[in-house]
Formats: sequence, structure tokens, C-alpha cells
Amino acid sequence: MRTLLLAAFCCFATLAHAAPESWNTLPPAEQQALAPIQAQWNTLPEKAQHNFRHLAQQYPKLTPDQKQRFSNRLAKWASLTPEQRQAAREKYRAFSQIPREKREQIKQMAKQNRAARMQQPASAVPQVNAKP
Amino acid sequence: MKNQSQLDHRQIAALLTQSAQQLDEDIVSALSEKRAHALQKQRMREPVFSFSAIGHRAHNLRPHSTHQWVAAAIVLVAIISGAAVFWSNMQDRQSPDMAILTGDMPLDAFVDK
Repeated sequence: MRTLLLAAFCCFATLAHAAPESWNTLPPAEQQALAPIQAQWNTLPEKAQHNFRHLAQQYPKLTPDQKQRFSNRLAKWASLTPEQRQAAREKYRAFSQIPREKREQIKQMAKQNRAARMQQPASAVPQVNAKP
Repeated sequence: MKNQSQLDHRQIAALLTQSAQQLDEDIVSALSEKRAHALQKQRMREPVFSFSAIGHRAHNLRPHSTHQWVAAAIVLVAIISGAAVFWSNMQDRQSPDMAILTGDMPLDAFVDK
């Protein structure tokens, strides 16, 4: 009986989650990867912290381009609600199912849209200036 | 002439075969019967796998009182919960977060506005 209760306690103890990590206790490599979300780190839920730490552990393996994208997108990604992140994952999974050629077309379209958006403010400036 | 101690195994075998052929039929059949009997006894002494032994041990492990049943249920629930949490973590780890954060497609393409 005691053995069974002890085993149950051990199982529950294993299940129990550790307390949320403080930013200062993170390893320097993880701090570097997660620097864009340092300000909000302590407010993040424990599960989100766990997921971000897992991402940070993969950061050293990324190419310089990927590191740049990671740093640019991380803050926005962290600011999303868990539901929005889950929806984004579902969309990504659906996107991954599309044939490669189609995916490349979509990527090109996305790039063009982005480039057009980047040019929009620049083209808007002369119009504003043109007004009296 | 060779001494008896100088006989090799082939010569000994040949002598035994020759001697056996000279034995009476009754003696040969009696020896054969004794041999079969000895082999049978040898086989019976070998350990035999038995399911009854396992069943007996399993019976000892089975909870006998209500408390033991409750404790066993708690352990079972804990194990199942642990497996569920582990599976969930595995799913999280396999989530495409890194691909979304580092891929060619902009983040906005996957995020609802």
C-alpha cells in the first residue's frame, strides 16, 4: 500500500511543472536568441516560455538569414494569443501540404506584395508633398 | 603389436562396434530399452516453462483491498496523465514554430488580422 502511494506521489511530482523561468536564469545563448522578447519574458505563461526556450536552443543552428528573420518575427509571434499562434500553425501545415510549385508561386506573390507595401509609403510621400 | 593404451578413438570405436555385433539379440534389445528409458528420464528432469508460476505471481500483485484498488487507480491515472503530458510536449516540439519564424513566407501570411 505504502509503495503504491509512494509511486503515485512520484508520478505526480514528475508531472508537476517547474516554476516559470526568470530571464536572468536563462543561459546566455538563449538570452541572445530571445533578446527581442526580453521585456515581456517574465509575463509570458510558463508553457510559452518552455516553447520559446526550445526555439532558442535551435537558434545556433540557423543560417544568418534565418537568424535575422527569427529576430525580426519573434516579438510579433510572442505578442500573439495562443489561439492565434495555433491558427498560424494550422495555416502553415495546410501550406506545407500544397504542391511545391504552387508553394513557390505563393511565395513569389507574397514577396511581390511585401515589396509593393514597402514602396507604398515612399510613393505616398510625393503625393502628400504635392498637395498645397 | 600395439599396447591397449596406444589405441586411438577410431580403433576403440571399431572394437566396440565389432563387439556389439557379436552380442545376443536379447542383450541388444535390453540395452536399447534401457537407453530409451534413461533418455526419457533425462527429458523429464529438464525445467519446463509453466504459465501457472506467472499466474501465481500475478495473483500476488493484484490489489486485494479497497485501499489497494484506489491506490492502483491513482497510479494508473498518474501514468496516463504523464503519458498525455509527454505526448503533448512532443507535439509542441514538433510544431512548425521555427519554420514559421525563419521561413521565406512572411509571418503575416499565417497570422489572422
